[in-house]
Amino acid sequence: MSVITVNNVTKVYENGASGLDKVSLTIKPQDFAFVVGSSGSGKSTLMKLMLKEIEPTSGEIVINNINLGGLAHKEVPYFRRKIGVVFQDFRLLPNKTVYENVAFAMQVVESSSRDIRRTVPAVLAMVGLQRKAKAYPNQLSGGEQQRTALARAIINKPPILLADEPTGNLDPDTAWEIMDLLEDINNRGTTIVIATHAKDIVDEMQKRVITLRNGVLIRDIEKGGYEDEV
Amino acid sequence: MKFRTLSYYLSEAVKSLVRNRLMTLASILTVFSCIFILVFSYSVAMNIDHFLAQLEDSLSLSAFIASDVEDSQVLSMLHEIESMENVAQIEYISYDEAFERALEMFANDPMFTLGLTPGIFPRSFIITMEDVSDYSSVVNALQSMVDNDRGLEYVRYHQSIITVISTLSNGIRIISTVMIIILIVLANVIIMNTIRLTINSRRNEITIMKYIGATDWFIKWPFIIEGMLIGLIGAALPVMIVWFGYGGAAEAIHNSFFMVEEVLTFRSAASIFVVLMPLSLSIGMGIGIYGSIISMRKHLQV
Ligand SMILES: Nc1ncnc2c1ncn2[C@@H]1O[C@H](COP(=O)(O)OP(=O)(O)OP(=O)(O)O)[C@@H](O)[C@H]1O
Ligand SMILES: [Mg+2]
Repeated sequence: MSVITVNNVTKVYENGASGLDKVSLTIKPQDFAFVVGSSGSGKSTLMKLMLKEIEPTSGEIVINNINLGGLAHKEVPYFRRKIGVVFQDFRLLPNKTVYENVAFAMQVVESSSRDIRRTVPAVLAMVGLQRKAKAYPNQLSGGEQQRTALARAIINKPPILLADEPTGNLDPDTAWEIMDLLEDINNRGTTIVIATHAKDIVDEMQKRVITLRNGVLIRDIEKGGYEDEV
Repeated sequence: MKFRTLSYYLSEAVKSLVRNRLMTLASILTVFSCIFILVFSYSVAMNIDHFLAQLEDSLSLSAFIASDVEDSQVLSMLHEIESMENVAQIEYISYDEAFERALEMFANDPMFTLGLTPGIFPRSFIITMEDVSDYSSVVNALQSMVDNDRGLEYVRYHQSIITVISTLSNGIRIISTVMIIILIVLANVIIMNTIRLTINSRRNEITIMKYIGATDWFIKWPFIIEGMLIGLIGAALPVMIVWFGYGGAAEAIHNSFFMVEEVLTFRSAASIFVVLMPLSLSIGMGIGIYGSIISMRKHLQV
């Protein structure tokens, strides 16, 4: 039983650059997995494939029992509602407040205003932002912006959360706060996959670590650090 | 579609309109010009048709009967003319009647008719037509009777006024149709560019919406509504202006041509706008929606 299955996936970009090379892996429900590797090793490529933002050149990806290869364009939005995403650069809407940015994710899936009024404050409280609800992104620290992005990613209760270098723009202390929050979310039952460069965090947390090099999966351990040689 | 979602679309569309106000204004202006010409020329054309219909009752042809025609032959001529196409009515004026009419006409100056006796004024037929704008077929048929010495001597008709009115009416129709087509194309180009600006300023937002799981239509609706609003505003303004200006303009024309007042009446504003308002508003909206759909097809890859 797995929520994510990547089966022999190769991605060659239009310009001939190799993104991933025959990668296979499975992620089980409530896993907490790091994807590591040097710059250009294919971490973001893997994330984008799982979001069906790009198509694999060969191989197949199955998420939540949906084979992405057979997913019609029309079905993609409904598939994405089951996956939360956060990015290194937060990607908040600058002209909306924290509250509005988070509420927006519910608006997009056409939730009722009653649901929105009830759910948004609870989720903001969970990420520790209840006092910043009326602030705009440019009035927030990096950590606060990433908390807002996290609140937005989980507000529709997706079973899976994908994070591409969520702490890449944050100082070490703030990075730890975000990781703690992610672990918290994981403990509530969400499967989490994090692409990261944060060696010390990976070493310290002793979770599942998937290592890529030049698009090839070279190491996949259940519990471990960034580079502990076996 | 939920009301909340609809109001979200509307507020997004209005925000874009305000954000790109210069382009919005330019788009509204082109739609405005286009619909203004439509409304204006339609009102004029409707009134010209109306005038022509009124003139049909008052305009007639007179065909004068040659003096060598026996009274006994007149009846068969009358039947021949009556059976011509486009002839609505025919009336025979005998020598006596012609004389009486002349006396009446010169009642104020009896010296002109002094010593005249019946027979001096020719007998004639007065012919009214079903459609005055197509008077030439009747005139030609009568004229050929004159040319072939078949009992008629002379045909008199108000060619000039009929020709002027129908030429004017056709001219206005052709010129305004051409201008409307040009302006519709222009309006579309400008609206497409306005929507393109909105799409560009929202690229970031659209990317985020897609990650969150927004459907294509959820992303597209605000742009469609934006185009629709541009078209609607651009069409509503000229309709309103002509609607309010119509009565005043009709009155001014009455006052400057006293003869018009006597003979002709204008169509009521209501009778024109019952067609014109829905027509203009839907053309305006159509231009706007079409422009934004084309723009999205080009610039928005969802
Ligand atoms: N859109 C693209 N077009 C062409 N080549 C691409 C594209 N995106 C990525 N690549 C190439 O694919 C390879 C893997 O890139 P990817 O972004 O997945 O690496 P990454 O592990 O996320 O790196 P980083 O740690 O710097 O974010 C690189 O060689 C990169 O140049
Ligand atoms: Mg990357």
